[in-house]
Amino acid sequence: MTAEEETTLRLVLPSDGALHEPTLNFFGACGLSVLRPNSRRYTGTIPALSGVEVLFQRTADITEKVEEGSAELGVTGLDRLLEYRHDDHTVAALINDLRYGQCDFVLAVPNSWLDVTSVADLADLALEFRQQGKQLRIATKYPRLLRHYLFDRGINYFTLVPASGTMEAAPAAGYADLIADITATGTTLRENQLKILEEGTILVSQACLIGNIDLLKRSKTCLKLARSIMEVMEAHLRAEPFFRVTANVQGTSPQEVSGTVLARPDLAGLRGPTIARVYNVEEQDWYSVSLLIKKNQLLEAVDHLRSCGAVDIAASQVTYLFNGFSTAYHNLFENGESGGEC
Amino acid sequence: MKSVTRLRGMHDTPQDFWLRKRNLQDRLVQLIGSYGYRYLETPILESTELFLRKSGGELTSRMYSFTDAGSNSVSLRPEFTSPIVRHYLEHAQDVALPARWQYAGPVFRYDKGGQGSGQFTQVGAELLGSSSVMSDVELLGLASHVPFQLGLSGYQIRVADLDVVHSVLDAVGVSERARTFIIESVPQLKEGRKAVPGVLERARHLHLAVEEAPDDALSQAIQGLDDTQSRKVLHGLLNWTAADQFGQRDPDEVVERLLRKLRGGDDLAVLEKALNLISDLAGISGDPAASVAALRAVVTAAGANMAAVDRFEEFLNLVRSEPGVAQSLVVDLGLVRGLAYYNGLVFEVTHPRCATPLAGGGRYDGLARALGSPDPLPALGFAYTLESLLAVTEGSDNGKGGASEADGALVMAWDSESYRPALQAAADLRQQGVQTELDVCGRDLSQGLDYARKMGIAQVIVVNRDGQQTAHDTRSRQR
Repeated sequence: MTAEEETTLRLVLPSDGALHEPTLNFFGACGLSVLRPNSRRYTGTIPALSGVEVLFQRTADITEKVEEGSAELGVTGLDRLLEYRHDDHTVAALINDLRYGQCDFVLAVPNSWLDVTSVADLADLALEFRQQGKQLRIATKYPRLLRHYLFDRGINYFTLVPASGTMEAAPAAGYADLIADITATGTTLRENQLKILEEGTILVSQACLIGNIDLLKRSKTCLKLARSIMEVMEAHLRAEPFFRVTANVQGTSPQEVSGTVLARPDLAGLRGPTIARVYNVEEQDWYSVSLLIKKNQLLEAVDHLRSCGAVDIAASQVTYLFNGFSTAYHNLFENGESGGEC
Repeated sequence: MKSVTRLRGMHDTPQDFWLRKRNLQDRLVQLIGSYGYRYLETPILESTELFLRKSGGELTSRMYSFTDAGSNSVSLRPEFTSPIVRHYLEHAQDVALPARWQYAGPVFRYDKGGQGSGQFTQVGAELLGSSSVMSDVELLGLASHVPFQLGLSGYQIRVADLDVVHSVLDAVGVSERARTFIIESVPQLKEGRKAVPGVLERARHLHLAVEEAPDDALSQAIQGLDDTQSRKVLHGLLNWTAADQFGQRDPDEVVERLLRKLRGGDDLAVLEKALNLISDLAGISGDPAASVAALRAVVTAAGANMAAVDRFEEFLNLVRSEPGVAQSLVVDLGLVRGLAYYNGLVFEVTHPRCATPLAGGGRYDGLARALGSPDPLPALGFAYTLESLLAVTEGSDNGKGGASEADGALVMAWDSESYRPALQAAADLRQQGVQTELDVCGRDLSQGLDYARKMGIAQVIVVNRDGQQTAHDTRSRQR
């Protein structure tokens, strides 16, 4: 059967939960603001990028939507990607870490288990349970990730109790002995008299951009749009830690000015300062110095420029920082088939 | 629309292969039946709990499990032993022991890799209700009879005895927890004593062995106290935390384990001794007589009871005269498996042309209890993987099923007026035992002959409206 080549790129975003707002904010910050006619509509557009149709779906369903081909791209948590995607890896993380939506998938046991503090203890307890003819019951919404984790640590005897939502109550309600759950701050766990085990972090997760590789490869238009989105996101993520600082410095020549600025090479920009002549009516020799500086070095860099005699020091956030090519795109679509997957 | 493809690990079985497979299965069922094992067909779908209780984690993670429309948690069977024992427990009143059952059918195990995964066929036997050495001999003899009957050569029957391992651990005196740990570590320990430090390190990590008391606040709190006083302190601490969720545990269990953890587990030197002896045992493999001598040396060194070795030796001597055993029997203590209810005999049938064992089996006296039996039930069994057996018998006439030479007939109607006589002619041929296909596409003779050749049909018979038949041999080139 010959399939019509897709001319619209479908992008599925979380309509609910902890990822909904931050995702819209992130797209906005990338210059890809999503326009949703009203909050009851489950579709939208990105005015800055025509040809993209935005669909809103429950976060839990996004991996499946991209996998089954209802959309080429999606944003979801790395946890949900790794738990839900099929073994054939039709879906891959195009960008692993969008730097928001951080949470940990952890093992937590009742506070009253004074004797259990680490995963090693849990392994031991599983053996003890087995000798007593009991199964260690663990409530979780991510059975696949949990099983892998436990088998890797030699814990083979347990029963998983499928659960979704308010899992923290499972030990109190009596249907599980411990839980493996997602936590951002650990507060809910503490309030439910649960403690996180030492070495008990199963996965550190965050929002990621996922894509259906097969589907994308089938349409040039989609691939081009996906590439634009990936490029802009990467450039934004790359730019996010940087400030652009410009200042005027008096000096006799560009060489002299660069000499004083480069006295602190660590504060002299990514590849050294850009220095340009300032033309003004008074015949003094002024040069404009321009640098890219890490956020945490900003004040230090300003001090350094002052000590070089700089005035009119302006600092602005960098929106994008493009490299020669998109690393993620290159890994996935130009350099072999499956590079860049996590 | 994208076409729907076959699942990984699942195979379509074309007729030739199906015939070979069915033929082999029939031979095995007949052979096992000749030992008095009654055929029992159990459901493909069972309660997930049944297999969970037997297998714990590893196999469980490979099960095809789902929730049915009635919200029951169910699984495609990954093995037959638990269903057979479940059947016995349901009908215990009506069954005279010992009970002998055999089975054949598909089992399902998911595996990402693909080898020995998806759906495959097990044929096996279970003997319930006897702990006598004679039952071990009968079952292993039967397992060995299978490749012997098929005329297979080069196979090995590798046997071990878990009771010998237990007798050594009894003599050294390790805790139940350490015992489970040591038996689970046999795959590493069979590499020899050089593997012991690594295993010991893992034991220390699991708090199974401690050299000196840990130096934390809790240990300090009970330092110098006897066990009774310590328990009081720790119970007090537990009350103090006001935590009241314990899951399936109670405060006493938590305090006992905490005390054990604070005071340290098995003595490190004892654990090391046990690991050294078990690594010596696990490394024993080869000729039965020499292996028994080696076993005796280790058991003597451990100062252990010789009864288990004596029984194992008696078993080896008796079983040697069973069909196909003498030339293929090898002792390999490294086979010992960790599942809790296994004991006594463990064995595998291997073949150099097959990466995975053709069959596995052993004694599982503890399983019935785990499945809810009030009384212990000694039992043992084995299962062959039919596909593996087929793979190693391929090419030999023994495993072969139906002939692939052209036979049968294709009946064609001369024109639409000849349909009725053609139907009659086909019916007559089938009556005579000829496999007969009817042309249902209105082909002409030359197309009919092409089709028949492709399908391996020997004759094309054209029937006219008067019922006259003209036969054409597809094997001759003339038309």
